[in-house]
Amino acid sequence: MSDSLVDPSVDRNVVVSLEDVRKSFGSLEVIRGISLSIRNGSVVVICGPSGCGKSTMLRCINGLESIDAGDIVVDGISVKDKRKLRLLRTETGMVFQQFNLFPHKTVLENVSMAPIDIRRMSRIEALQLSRELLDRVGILDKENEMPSSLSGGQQQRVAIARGLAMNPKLMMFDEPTSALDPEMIKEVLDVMRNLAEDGMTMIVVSHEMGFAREVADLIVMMDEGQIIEGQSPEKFFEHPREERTKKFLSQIISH
Amino acid sequence: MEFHWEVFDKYWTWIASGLGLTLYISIMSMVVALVVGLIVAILRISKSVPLTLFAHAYIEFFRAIPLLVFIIWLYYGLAMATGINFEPVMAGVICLSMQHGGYLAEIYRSGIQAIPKGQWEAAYSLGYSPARTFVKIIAPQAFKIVIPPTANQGVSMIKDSALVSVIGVNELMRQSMIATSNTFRPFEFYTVAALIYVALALGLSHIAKMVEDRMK
Ligand SMILES: Nc1ncnc2c1ncn2[C@@H]1O[C@H](COP(=O)(O)OP(=O)(O)OP(=O)(O)O)[C@@H](O)[C@H]1O
Ligand SMILES: [Mg+2]
Repeated sequence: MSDSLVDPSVDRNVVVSLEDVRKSFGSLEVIRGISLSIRNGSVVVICGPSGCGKSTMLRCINGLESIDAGDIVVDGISVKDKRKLRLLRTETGMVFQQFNLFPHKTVLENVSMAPIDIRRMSRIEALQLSRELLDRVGILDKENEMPSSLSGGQQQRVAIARGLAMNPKLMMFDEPTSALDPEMIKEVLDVMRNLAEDGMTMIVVSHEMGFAREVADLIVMMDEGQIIEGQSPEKFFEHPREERTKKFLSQIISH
Repeated sequence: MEFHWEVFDKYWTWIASGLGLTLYISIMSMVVALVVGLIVAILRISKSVPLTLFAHAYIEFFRAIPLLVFIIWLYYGLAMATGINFEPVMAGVICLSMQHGGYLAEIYRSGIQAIPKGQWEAAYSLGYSPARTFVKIIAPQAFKIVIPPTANQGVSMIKDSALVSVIGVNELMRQSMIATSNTFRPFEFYTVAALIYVALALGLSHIAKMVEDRMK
């Protein structure tokens, strides 16, 4: 594992670092000592069986869940620093499996409201930025629609634009395509692929192995709250080190 | 059986002033109850254990106490024991709004909790504070959910306001009672009183329905 890790104290290019993170829900320890650092511009895809702690790990990174031990630092801010938690979150975009768009706001408002409210951007500037982003995710023509009138794939692209509007240092995606009909998966993955090409630092929980092979710099396999293997895509698919990874891959690919 | 509707020639101003006071008490109590209900609901869902317990106790207590008992206790009992004397109208508004505040707190709490957790999380992830998330994201969505039950509560408020007649507030019910004892025409006066209450209740329900439809 250690060969893929970078020491954050030496490397200023590290955007996120997790250091021996632990997290329990009651007596159930869900994250059991995870260390990982992610360099600026790299894309990490996380996979692993259901319930292994992938979502919890992402939610710990932007402080939606608090951690019990260890530390997580995003762009120089520790999640343990409660006073700076909101600042940390503005630097960290999050895309959810269920989109979680604001249903009482139009598409354009969904994207522009946080820049106006939180970044204190002027309305005109924020609307211009939001339109650029909607254009980038290919959905500008829907700017005045309500989210409920959009397809799942369109909603997820709006959610991505909403995250990008805060100009974050890091984008996290928690199974962004698993609630989508098959024909819509590609349009969302294409947006994510473009984002990666533009140099966005990304953590993606996904079982889309084609996407992972093509876009990821690092693929991380989790099981039972631990990282059991972290490899470049080539090595991960051709020569997985762990039996559990092999088994997991064969299940994913055969289904 | 003979009806003597002409008694209203002399007494309609009594009934009108009673109706005015009924509306005044109902509206005042509703406004206070809306505020009390919102505060208690927010305390109820807050992360602070003492505040949650306080809100829980408030809701349980004021929903459980019979309104008539509460009114009499506050107006006669408390006044005797402590020397705190409320004006009858004031005492009525306090009792109505405390009790209905408890009901409304439960309505609001369930409305707020009906909004998926993902809405909070999406706002937090963008850097919104809990208070701002509530105001900008949660409350506008919960608002639509709570309109119909809140309107029902308003209807109950109008009906319950008749109970303050026991402490001598000259609202619609008491004015009807006085007019009856002066004229010995209970059927005429109580029929009119009943019809007025029914008309108010139906009118309010209808307005609420229109607001609800407008928002869809
Ligand atoms: N708020 C919570 N309270 C209690 N237990 C929780 C909570 N959130 C998650 N868990 C438990 O923690 C474990 C890890 O959950 P998590 O959602 O992180 O898994 P996951 O890897 O994302 O799974 P999936 O692939 O199904 O999304 C599971 O056993 C889950 O039941
Ligand atoms: Mg998950």
